[in-house]
Amino acid sequence: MIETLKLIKNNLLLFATAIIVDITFFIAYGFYTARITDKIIAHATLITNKLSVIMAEQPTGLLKHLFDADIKPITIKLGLLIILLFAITYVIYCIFQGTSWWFTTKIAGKKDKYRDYLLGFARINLIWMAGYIIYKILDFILSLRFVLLQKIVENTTNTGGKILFAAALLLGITAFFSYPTLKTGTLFKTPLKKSLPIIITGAAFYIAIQILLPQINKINTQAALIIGTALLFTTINFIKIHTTKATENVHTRT
Amino acid sequence: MEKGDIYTIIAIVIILAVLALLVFNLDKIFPTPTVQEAIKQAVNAT
Repeated sequence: MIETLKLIKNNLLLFATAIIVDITFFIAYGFYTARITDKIIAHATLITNKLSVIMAEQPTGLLKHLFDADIKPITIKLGLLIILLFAITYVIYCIFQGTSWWFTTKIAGKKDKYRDYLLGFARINLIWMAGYIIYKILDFILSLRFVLLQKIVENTTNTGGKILFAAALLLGITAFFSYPTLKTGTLFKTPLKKSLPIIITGAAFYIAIQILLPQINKINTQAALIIGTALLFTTINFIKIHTTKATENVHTRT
Repeated sequence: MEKGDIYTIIAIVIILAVLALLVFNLDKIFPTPTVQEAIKQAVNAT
């Protein structure tokens, strides 16, 4: 950790740039996806309205009705919009987070070329994006199932949802550890004595921010926003640099 | 900064500009009623 602090101290400009790129990612993500999300909601609402009329008369065959003559064009448009949303998310994520990670690996002493790193980052994220899509589909199915089950058995627990959340968390952590080396299995090659402290530190910072910010918010909302943003992105980039240092030799060890 | 890096930055700017054009013209590519009109249709149907 002390070594990471020294690296940051010697590369303050790069560290600040990585933070700015991270913040810009969230602004860009909102800008590029807000209209598409609105369109998806509008199309989903239209389909639901039309389906509710049809299902009132014929309560079975939901999937079949999605492709009835007057609903099919809207279903196809909805499908295309969802694909577009995932594609734009992937491109924006690769550009901004790839750049941010490149800066943090530079701070940690790596000498990857920007273009080579970005291409490798885009390649590895094809796998993580596929995992994310599978997670979203399963999440949708399990949430729907839970809502329906709750109507029959009031006190039912969402065990499936909890297991899926744990799997998604593991996917996220695996992806995070893959970014410094651009190799998917880095988390599993990193000794536990190196990876566990990083995961615990990340969780601890997250919990600390969750407790601290509401207290500051009670005094001043703007201060909470500024302090929260500064703390969050500084912490994220600190952990990125530390992870890069911790994983630098895991694929070359004998 | 290397030439490769400069070309990469130019490519990124072009990609972001094209995506912005796509997002700004989304209504022409996917013309639909707004959420408010969809809700109005639902209210009228009931």
